[in-house]
Amino acid sequence: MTEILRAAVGIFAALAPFGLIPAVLALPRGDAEGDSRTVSTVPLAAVTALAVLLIAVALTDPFLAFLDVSGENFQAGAAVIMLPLAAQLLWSGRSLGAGHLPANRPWLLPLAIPGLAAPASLAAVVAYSGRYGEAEAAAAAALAIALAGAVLLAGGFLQRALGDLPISVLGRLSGALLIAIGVELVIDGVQSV
Amino acid sequence: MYPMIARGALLSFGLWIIFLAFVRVAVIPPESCGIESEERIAEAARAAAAWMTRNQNEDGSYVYLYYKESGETPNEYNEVRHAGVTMALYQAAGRLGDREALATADDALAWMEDHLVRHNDWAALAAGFRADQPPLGASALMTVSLAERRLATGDTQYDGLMREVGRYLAALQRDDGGFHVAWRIGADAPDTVGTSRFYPGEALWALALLHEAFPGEGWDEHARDALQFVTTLRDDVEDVPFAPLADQWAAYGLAEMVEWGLTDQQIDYARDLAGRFGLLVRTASQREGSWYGSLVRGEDARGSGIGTWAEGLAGLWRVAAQDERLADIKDKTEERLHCVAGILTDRQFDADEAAAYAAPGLVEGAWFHEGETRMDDQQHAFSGITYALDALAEHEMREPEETLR
Repeated sequence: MTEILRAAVGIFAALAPFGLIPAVLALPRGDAEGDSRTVSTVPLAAVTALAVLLIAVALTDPFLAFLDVSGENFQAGAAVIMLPLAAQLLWSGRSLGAGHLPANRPWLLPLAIPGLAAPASLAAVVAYSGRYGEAEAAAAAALAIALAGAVLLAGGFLQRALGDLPISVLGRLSGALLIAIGVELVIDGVQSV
Repeated sequence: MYPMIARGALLSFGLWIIFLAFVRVAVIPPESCGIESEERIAEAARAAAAWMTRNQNEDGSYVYLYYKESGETPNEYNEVRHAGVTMALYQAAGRLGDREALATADDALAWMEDHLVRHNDWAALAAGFRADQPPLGASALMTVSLAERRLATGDTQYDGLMREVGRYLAALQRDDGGFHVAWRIGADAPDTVGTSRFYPGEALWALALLHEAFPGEGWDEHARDALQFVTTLRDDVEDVPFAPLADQWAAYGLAEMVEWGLTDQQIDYARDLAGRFGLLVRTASQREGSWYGSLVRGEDARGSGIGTWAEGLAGLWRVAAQDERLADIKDKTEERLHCVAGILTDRQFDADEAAAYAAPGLVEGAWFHEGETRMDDQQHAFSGITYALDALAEHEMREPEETLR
């Protein structure tokens, strides 16, 4: 259970949902019911992203074998792959630009991919799958996606309650958390047999 | 709007491809573990033992250094490594049933007896200019050699000598469990200035083997104190920059003492040590895996270095096999052992390669680093491969099952 929770925290950090809130709030309105657009868009995006992450978990072993890389060494690579997202979050508090969002199927592009299922989260699930096992990584991915979805659904409420600035701060903190997760992955990879 | 999004996506995709290519080359280059066949790996161990057997001088010493291009064998020697090679030959005698190795090791033992210094109630191995300050490591590995001979043959004729040399180790032990590096015979006092990173581990293993050979004589107390020092203080005292020190002797000691019962702290040390050896093996496998691997992972280690990683991992595998607290690293340790043994086998010079040189007998079965082989390259690689094969065969006992005599 501890392993699942640890992995879930790492995957949640890589999903960086606080950085996605501005993009969710900027989605084209599909009806006149205010936040009702997010009620259908966010779950669809979350389920789609979860499916992508689960496919990545299932393909961990063949993927690592294809790369000729051990899971322990891949952890260092995963940490480096997380860096651009962490830098973007620290810089802007956002993981996805709010401009130019398509009106058609935004739950797929850009929310599910590359909003949630991005290189950072894919690298994270592969790293945790190699470290703790596929079942644990899959459970952790589901937990992290559920949490991320909840954060995105609550985005409108958070904005109204807190304003734009705290959401931006939360996004930047996500970047710091992601860096911490990356450092932990590197240290664990270095210390593992 | 869509063409703009498509252009942005393409640009982003292209940048990611470049970035991932960089990660691939610089951070996670491919790994390769050389030869997989356990049969070929076992052949490599036999070839290494044959090199040590073949390349002994008439006085019982070994060819210390050999440069394959120039054919030079420089006039250097080191009694610590002499004892180490002799130890490996006794292991070959016991584990491979190799009587030639036994005869060679016995000649080398005679050389050690000729270079003993006796003082107070102890005997110590020292050669040449160090006769006035016998190094701890030489006597520790001589003790291990004698213990290996005893295990291989069941012969007890050297028990007195084993205790005598063992008393030198005990005389050098400090109150904190660590060791002075030598006794200054002229001053009849220990050398309190010199230090050594590896001597404490060598002495630890020797003392543990003394207890195994002669239970009830108090050697275990010395071994326990030494283990406490090695696992808690040594890395600080020796200012090791990236602790724990990759000390295969400590791993041998832990493997010997696991059945005595290890503390949680000692188990944590064993886990960290396994991690250190594992990292070294993974890094070596990255050097082997691609043309750019050595560019981003630095120079190859020599055969002795890689051999020590195998020895260390094999010792820790035995700990993991016997202590539940380390059960979670057993499989990974086996994986790394297979890998490091495969790398060693791949890098060993075989008969065909040796035939191209003026002295094939000095090349076949050896490991060369920048054109040079040193006798302990074969020693550590032999021991490492032999015990790695144990792990692959789930053979938990290090000692030979049958004695030669």
